[in-house]
Amino acid sequence: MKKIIYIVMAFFIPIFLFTVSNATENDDINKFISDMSSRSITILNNKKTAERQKQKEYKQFAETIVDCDWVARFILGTHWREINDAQKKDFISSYKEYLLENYIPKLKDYNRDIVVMKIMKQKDKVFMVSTKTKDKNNKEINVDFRIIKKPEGLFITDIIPEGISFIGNQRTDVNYSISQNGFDKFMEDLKKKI
Amino acid sequence: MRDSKVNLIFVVLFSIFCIFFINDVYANTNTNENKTSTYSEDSYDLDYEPTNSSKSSIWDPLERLNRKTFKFNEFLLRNVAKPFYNGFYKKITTPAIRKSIGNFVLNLKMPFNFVNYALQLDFDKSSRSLYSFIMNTTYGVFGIFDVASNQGIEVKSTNFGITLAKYYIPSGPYIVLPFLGPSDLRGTFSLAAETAVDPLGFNVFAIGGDDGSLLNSEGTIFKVSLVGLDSITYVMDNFYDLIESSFDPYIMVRDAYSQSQNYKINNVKGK
Repeated sequence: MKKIIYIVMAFFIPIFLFTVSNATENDDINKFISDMSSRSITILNNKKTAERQKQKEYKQFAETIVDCDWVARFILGTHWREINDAQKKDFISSYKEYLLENYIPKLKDYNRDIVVMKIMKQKDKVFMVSTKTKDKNNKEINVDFRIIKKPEGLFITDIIPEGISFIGNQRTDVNYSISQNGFDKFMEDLKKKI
Repeated sequence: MRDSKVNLIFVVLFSIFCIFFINDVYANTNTNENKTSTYSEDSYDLDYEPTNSSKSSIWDPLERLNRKTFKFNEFLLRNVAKPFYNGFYKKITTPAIRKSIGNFVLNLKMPFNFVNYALQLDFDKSSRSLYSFIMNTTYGVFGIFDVASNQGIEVKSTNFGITLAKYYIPSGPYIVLPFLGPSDLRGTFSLAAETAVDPLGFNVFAIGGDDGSLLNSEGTIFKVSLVGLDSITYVMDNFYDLIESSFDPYIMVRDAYSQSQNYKINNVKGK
């Protein structure tokens, strides 16, 4: 009888510990999404702040939850290896500004009544989080967030509203531009858009 | 007695091993501010491939013609739709009015959703579409108010092109339609077919007929005007900034269209 108890214990204790570990990870991600939503709403609904100030605050906040460096590296794809260190540095800083100016403000459209539906672990530090949220017209939309876990915390690396990956789309656009006109012309265009 | 001690020691050691193993895995993924960063460039998983990414799989043999049509549409968007939307339409309407127009247009699509979802063998969404149409047309005053959504009955639009895709009809070449934007051969055929059977649509297959009229009924102009206003609102609210900030708007829109189609088709195929 004791043997059976020991075998059962040996079987269930690891499962229990693994479940606890996964639950903690999922809790962290749920909290991250919920904090993102509430913080965005607080910034954007603050009636005491002027519109310009709100946008500035929102960008500052977004910078803390989006891994702009990773996105910049990913966007460049294979062209990354073809440029020197000075060009890499210049590209990352310019692209980060472009991202914060043109794309990050869109993140606020995907925060309303957000509910996490599913969390899938893609890799060791990478999670795909499926959510449901409401668009400007209060219609339900599916938005997936690709989230990466770094020593400094959780960061968004892709936003996928209704199946359209933001970074997939950006990479196609940027790579086409570089392959047609070269990296220098692309950088010129990028700086014009900041 | 000795056996049970050995067993107990085994369980304790095994559990300790598991705790260390899981903690080690967890520590790699957990936030730990005291730890020095080991997040090297190698840990960037740059092999990530977005699920619906087109990977240039879209077939675009008509690119030269499509680019010209795209330029025409872009010209209209920048010089007609934008000034009209920002300078006039937005000023004379409230967000609630624009939302009501959107609801009305969406409600007109519900009978098509009902048929298409049934053809896709998705009877749950088909019956939801029918319910939504009945509720919104009656209690929602011809669809101006989205009563069904408030009851938790949300239906996403589908079309005949997606139905054909479910049965493995290929998309054909990518086509940019004047005024209407990105599509493909399957999508264009689907649009023509849906318009032809729509009592408020254009009489697309009877041009040059007895009366030569493009209009099926007087309601056509009314419907087209509202669909036009709703489309302008949708594009200006969601896409105009993205088009303006992209490096090659044609490529950006083509890729977004391709990803969106892949997503919808994967959904109906249950992938």
